[in-house]
Amino acid sequence: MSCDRLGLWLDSSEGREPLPSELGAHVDACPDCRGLQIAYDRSVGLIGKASATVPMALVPRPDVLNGMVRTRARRQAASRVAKFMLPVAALLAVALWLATGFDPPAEGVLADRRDGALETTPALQVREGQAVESGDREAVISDPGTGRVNLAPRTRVRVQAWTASAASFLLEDGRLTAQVEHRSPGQSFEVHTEYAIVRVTGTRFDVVHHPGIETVVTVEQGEVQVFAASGPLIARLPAGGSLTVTAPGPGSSAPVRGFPAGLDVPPAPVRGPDLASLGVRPAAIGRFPRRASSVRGPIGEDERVTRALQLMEAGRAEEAVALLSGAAASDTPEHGRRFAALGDAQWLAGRHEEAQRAYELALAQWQGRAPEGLYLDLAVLLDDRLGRPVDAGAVWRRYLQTWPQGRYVGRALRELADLEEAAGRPDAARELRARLLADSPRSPEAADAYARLGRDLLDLPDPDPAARWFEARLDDPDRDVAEAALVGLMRVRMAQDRWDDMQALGLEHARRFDRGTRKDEVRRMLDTLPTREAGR
Amino acid sequence: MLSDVEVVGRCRRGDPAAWAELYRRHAPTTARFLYRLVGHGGDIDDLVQQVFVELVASLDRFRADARFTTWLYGITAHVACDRLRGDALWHRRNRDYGEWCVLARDDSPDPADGALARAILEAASNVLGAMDVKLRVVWVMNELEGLDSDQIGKALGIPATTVRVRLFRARRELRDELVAAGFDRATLGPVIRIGVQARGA
Repeated sequence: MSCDRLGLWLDSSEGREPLPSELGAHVDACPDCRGLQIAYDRSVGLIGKASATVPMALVPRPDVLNGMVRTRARRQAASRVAKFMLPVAALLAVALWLATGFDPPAEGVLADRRDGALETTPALQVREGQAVESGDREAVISDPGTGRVNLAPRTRVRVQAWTASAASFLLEDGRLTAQVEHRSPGQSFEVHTEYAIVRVTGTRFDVVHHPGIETVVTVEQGEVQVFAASGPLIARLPAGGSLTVTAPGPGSSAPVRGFPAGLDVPPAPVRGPDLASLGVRPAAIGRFPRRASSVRGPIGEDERVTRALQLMEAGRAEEAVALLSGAAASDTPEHGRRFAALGDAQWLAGRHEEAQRAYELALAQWQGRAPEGLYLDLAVLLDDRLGRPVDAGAVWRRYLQTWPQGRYVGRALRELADLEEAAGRPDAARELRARLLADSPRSPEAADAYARLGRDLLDLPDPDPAARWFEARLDDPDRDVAEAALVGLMRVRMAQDRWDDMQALGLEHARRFDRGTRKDEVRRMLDTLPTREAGR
Repeated sequence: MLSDVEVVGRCRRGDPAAWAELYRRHAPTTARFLYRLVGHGGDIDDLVQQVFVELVASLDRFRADARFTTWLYGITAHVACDRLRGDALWHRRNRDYGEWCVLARDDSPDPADGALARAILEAASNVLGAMDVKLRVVWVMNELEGLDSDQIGKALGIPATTVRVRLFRARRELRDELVAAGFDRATLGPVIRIGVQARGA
């Protein structure tokens, strides 16, 4: 293909615009451009057609929606009543929707997998001895007399018992949340993991198991008993309590306490066997006060963070959050890394405000010189996700104080300059761009800052300062800066009505910057030539 | 019929029927947009639910002077991007993009042309699948959903100039692939023949 006129137009138009008449005539006559137009339009048309119909029914699924709304409601428990009312209204809407003619999702559909386990769909029916693995979505096992068990995505359990008198699950990996009907004497409900057994009498609780690392038990309502896998009772956890049972190891030598919610004083040690030898340590999850800083389990910070990163890569961000949430502030870089990873996991889980707090904590832990990327992440989070560009600017200022020679200096100064401009302070914006050029002349942002400063000079009545500005960098070793200088000089010549000079610079641009980033700008300027010359 | 803004107002006041109406109106468009962003492997129904839950949580931030659909596009794009970035199956999902070609209806009377259409769709799907998600979002919003750069900028919370730059880069990737694969020549066959006949006549 030798002619690129249509390609250039595609690069510079909005799309959906009709071809300019001159270009249309050219395309009709030029096989290169005609072929490209047909191929491009056809590919857009084919993709549009093939993706126009979504191959599935769009029924609001109450289990998914309910789960998500509940999670959000928990996170926003401290928020205003109005915020709480909206999810409730949404649930009512779903109920109304379903009541007016939509069927609930099919129940009890199981699909064979080659490893013998079963992939689940919502409202699963199971039998004893069955291995169950949730796929990409949450699965639910429920029985009116026993309760409801939710399996988070990619959770693996084995059903050991599922009868009127006994329900028992072996949680091999992942998260299981259970809401259990009150159990009569003789009835039991148990969740087993590699390290612990959780036994309840009627409650709502949550168990997360990370193979080779730990089991975390959190109680929302009622009470659960937690036993070591070897049998002895570890603790009775009341509502709001949380306990982490780790793999037995040499590190678990500190005294162990349970964490009932709502206690203002450190609780009494849990009675029972030698807990340290069982690998038990408390977790500081959610609203629980900081008490675990002196207690070290067998898992090091590095291993925890590494495992969390693996979970994130596997799309299990919520589990990564749970794994990392036990960190207590202790002003060490180790905890800084952990909070930074926690922020990453919360971001991935869509908990943007919590992620912001985690990043702030991470910055505090490092005491002064946190890694550069942490500032970048926090600033992007604030700007892109939380819509708080001014706060993002404050982060960039902290970054500049901490890392005056850092690799994101150019980016920080550019963002701050844009903020100043948006706030109607062009002088401050100019000052920051000048600083960008001085402090970070080889950054990717330098060429843009250079061009913007030159354009500001073009606003002056006298074009000579702008001409001098651009002429000075025509042969800059940085190709982007040199291209910006050449294109800026074209603008100056255009303002001076020196059309021949502008055209010559356009030709020079085509020769020197065949694949330049400002090609479209040059094309638009050259397109004005015939009009101008006709007017002369 | 009530406007979207009026329905949203009722939702804010906690009217369940208004929520159902909002879902009925916008779930299909949301699903189609998600489908175009994440391809076949993307749990579209899950994502649609998630979009509406996000909508529930952020409804207070919706301003009546903005178009509701633009705002919903923004939420949907963010949900899709979050899913794609955090997804270990990213590469598999990219591959799933190519599956669109099997859905392409061969409605051309010329079998060779139908085969060419499938080949073009496959190539274009592969380019989109491998494309940076930021570029893909903008390309889909512009070329397939018909939004202009100002609307896209408002939806995504980025300047319109940034939208245009991303759009041009996306188009260039697609254009380069079409040219590299020779489709600009392959599609010309019938056109050239017609031209020859016309000249001969």
